[in-house]
Amino acid sequence: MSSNKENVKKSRNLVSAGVFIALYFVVFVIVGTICMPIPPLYLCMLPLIALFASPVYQMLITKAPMHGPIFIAAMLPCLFLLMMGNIWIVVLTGIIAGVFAEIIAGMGEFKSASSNMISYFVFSLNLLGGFLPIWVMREEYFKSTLDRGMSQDFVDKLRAITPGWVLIAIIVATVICGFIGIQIGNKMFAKHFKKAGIA
Amino acid sequence: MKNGIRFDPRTKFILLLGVNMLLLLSRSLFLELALFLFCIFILLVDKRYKNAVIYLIAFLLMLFIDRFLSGCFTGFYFTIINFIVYALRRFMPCLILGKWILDTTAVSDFVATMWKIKLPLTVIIPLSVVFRYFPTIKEEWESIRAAMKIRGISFSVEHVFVPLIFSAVNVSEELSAAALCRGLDAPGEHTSLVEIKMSYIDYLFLALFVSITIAAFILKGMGII
Repeated sequence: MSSNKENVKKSRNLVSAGVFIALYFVVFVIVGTICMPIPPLYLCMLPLIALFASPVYQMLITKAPMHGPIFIAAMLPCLFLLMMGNIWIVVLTGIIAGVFAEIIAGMGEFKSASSNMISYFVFSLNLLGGFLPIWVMREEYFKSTLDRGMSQDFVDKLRAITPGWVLIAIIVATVICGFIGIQIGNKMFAKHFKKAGIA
Repeated sequence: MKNGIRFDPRTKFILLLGVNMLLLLSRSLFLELALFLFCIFILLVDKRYKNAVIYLIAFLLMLFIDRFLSGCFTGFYFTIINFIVYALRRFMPCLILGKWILDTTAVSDFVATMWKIKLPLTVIIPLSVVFRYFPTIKEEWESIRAAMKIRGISFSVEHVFVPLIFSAVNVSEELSAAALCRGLDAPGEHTSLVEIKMSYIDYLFLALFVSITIAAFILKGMGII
């Protein structure tokens, strides 16, 4: 009987996890549709998602403190991007970010605030692979334009506006925005959810 | 599905991933054309003629911009536009397949496939909830916006997120009660109305893709592409 009860509790957690994963995905889609068409904003996508998704992530961990849901949440947007014609590397970074976020959150038994925060930083980098094509394609494009006799001058100019350090800047900005997001989330939790007794 | 031949969702996904990986093997136009035509062929077999024609026109247009206009125009901005067009064209086969999968795979097919390949319950339950919860989010969003309008509250993150998360918590409790009543966590084999099975068409297209891959690697090894 007790194992049955345990089972019911587990299924209940999994259903809640599904609901919050869906909410996270919606945040991703909304930020994505705003950012995608505008090239400079496109690079801000990861930090912006990290900023807004943190209450959902914190709720996900509170409602489903188990292994599995975090990984699925990290993978789902990656698979979606893959379907939209993105490079397969995005799935790879999704898996890496998901697994590490799981492990880090699991070290604090999904309850420690600091390990949850660090796991959120790692989790937020899940889509990093989606930005790599800019650099992969760039080198390829340079080669093909040089083949056809375009001047080195253009290549240098294009190279200058897409420098490699942007990738590192994205990572740093994501962590900073994730930190701010977690602070906002904590305030929201203290102000509303803890009072209502659902967190 | 009402028209065309039904592909197994597993085949669709293998093809998507395979085309995506093969695409980066070489930057020759020959391989690109082969993969593009392969994707168009799938659409034709599935009787999606309109989509196929649109993709074909878009592809030719982008090829034209890259090959001919770049000779006429030079300039910094044109180079940027050309770069974007080039990247879009290169990833077009993936885009075609992705759109095709989204169009032709129903949620029930997808869930049935997950049971078929025996994923753990930890994966199946959340994912089946995710796809069915999306329409509810839209409804909730509209109600929240309406309630904010009545009260004259301007848009802010807190005013959207807090009610949305509250409603999500309530929905998740109701949903888990309903799902448990229907035996979501029942042990043993689950049956499904949708039957997932590999048919001759799946094997045919997988074989075709494998032969394209082998040909690409041989040509690459010979240094032709």
